[in-house]
Amino acid sequence: MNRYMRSYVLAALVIGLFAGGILLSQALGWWATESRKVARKITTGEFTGKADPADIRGSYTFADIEKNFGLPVKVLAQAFGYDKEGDPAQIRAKDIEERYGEIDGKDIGTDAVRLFVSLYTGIPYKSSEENTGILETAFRILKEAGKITPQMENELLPRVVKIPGGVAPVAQGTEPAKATTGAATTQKEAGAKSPAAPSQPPSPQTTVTTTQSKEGSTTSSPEVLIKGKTTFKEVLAWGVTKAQIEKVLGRPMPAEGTGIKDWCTKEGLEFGTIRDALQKLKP
Amino acid sequence: MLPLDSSTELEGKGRMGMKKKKNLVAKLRLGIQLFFLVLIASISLNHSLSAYGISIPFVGSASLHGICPFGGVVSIYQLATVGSLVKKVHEASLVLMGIAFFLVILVGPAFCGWVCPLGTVEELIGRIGRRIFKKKYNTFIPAAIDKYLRYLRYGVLIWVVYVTATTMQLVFADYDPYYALFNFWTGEVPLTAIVILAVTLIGSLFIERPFCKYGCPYGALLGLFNKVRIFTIRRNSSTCIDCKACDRVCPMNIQVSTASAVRDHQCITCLKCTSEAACPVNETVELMAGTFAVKPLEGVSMEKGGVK
Repeated sequence: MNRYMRSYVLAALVIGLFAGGILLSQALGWWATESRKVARKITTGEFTGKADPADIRGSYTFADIEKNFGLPVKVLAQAFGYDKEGDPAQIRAKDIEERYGEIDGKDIGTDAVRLFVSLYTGIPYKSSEENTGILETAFRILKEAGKITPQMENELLPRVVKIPGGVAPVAQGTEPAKATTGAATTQKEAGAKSPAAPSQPPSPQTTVTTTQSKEGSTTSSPEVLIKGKTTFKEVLAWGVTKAQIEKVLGRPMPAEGTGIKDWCTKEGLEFGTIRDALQKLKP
Repeated sequence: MLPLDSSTELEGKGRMGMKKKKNLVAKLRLGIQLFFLVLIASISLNHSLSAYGISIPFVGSASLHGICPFGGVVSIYQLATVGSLVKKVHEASLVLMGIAFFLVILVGPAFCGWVCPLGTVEELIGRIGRRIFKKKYNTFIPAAIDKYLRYLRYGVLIWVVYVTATTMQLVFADYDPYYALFNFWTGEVPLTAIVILAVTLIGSLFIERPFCKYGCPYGALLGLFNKVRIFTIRRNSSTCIDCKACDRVCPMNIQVSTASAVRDHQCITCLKCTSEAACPVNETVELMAGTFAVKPLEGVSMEKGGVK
């Protein structure tokens, strides 16, 4: 017995299978070309089957976190100073990084969200970033909700930072105009949106990185810091070469105007790690 | 197999309308290849343009990682053990992987020969190479070395699956010429991938489908199904005139003329060798399920006693 398949049949089969398969999967709700924001599950130990805080990504909204971890949006909004927002459910972890970035040497971004989720839910998470901080508002919530023991409290204290008030941290140095604009934006956001931020007027002229320490005192640092909105161009302007940057990145540097954090997110790299390595290049 | 001198009449008959037949198959395949090439390029371009609020009408927008069937393959381990897909890979990849597996079980790696846009680009560049080098084209690597090089892609496959499983990162993205081809304008493609793409494109001037032959991990995986596919390329040795036209046209340098069924792991089901295209004798090289029925040749008795 023989059954030939002619070229036109094969052509129809190829087109039909792909078109039909895609249409069918769409009808069944299986077709997704973007993340569904489902955190991977822990597979071993006491927490088997629980969503892993380590898998929270910058694109996760508070609503996604609630869906995965059962941690209410309201609590997240309070913890990260978004409780006066119109729709805090849509705040993404990377928005937090953009708003706060580095405060008093501590990073408040996606990893801070992971840490908070872990502490609140009791699901273990070991941060790979040493400088991850925890906002005082978040710390207070954990304490009041009885989520942390006195021993944990002591361990966490060095990480606790206040939401910046009068002058927010800013990337500056070679492009003061741009940097101050960024600072003003940050201050505006922090001042207007955060309930914990004192209502001091922003100081758009400042080019000095100033943060409020957890003790409430104000410290100043003349360092040029890489922030959420810092571009590769700004790093190049320090006098660092493209080759040095590419060595850190392990791949070609994108267009100079690209934001470092945005690029890291796109490439699936930890911003904190790249930032720290680039920071060390500063002459 | 009929000796060449006794097949002159048969060959002459077979050649009637050969040009037309050959062109039809070639145009049909090229049409489908170009359709997928334009589709994928448009989707990728749309994805880039979406950052500027622009979009090409009637075309979707997605990261190529999200719609690559190989993304589904490398995610299987993580999906089974951790319950999630590798970063940048989405459910659509699993759907496409399923479709491609169904197709490969049925007709072999037709995905490579009819769909893969990188393969299409390699072929298009190969046309230039063929014009430059004529008969020398696609024969530069000595067969003795080439036969071992063909297994390189299995090394790539094992490495990619292993490192993806252990790191949970889409490691191959840094080396993927397919991703580089459709994203080189974004500035996000690693230098390694750009270099591999450049080597592939330049190599296509000398060798037909060099990345498919030596480097493609997905092609390696699909190629394994040539051993078990339902519809396979078969040669009818009783009508074959041993002209070796099938060997000459095979982009993957497979010796079709000596096989009764093409089970070579490199076959891409392009149908160039078949009686619809290069083979001058009808029903002699066919994509088919089952085997050729044994037909008596004209003037040859099937009865005991042989030739009348």
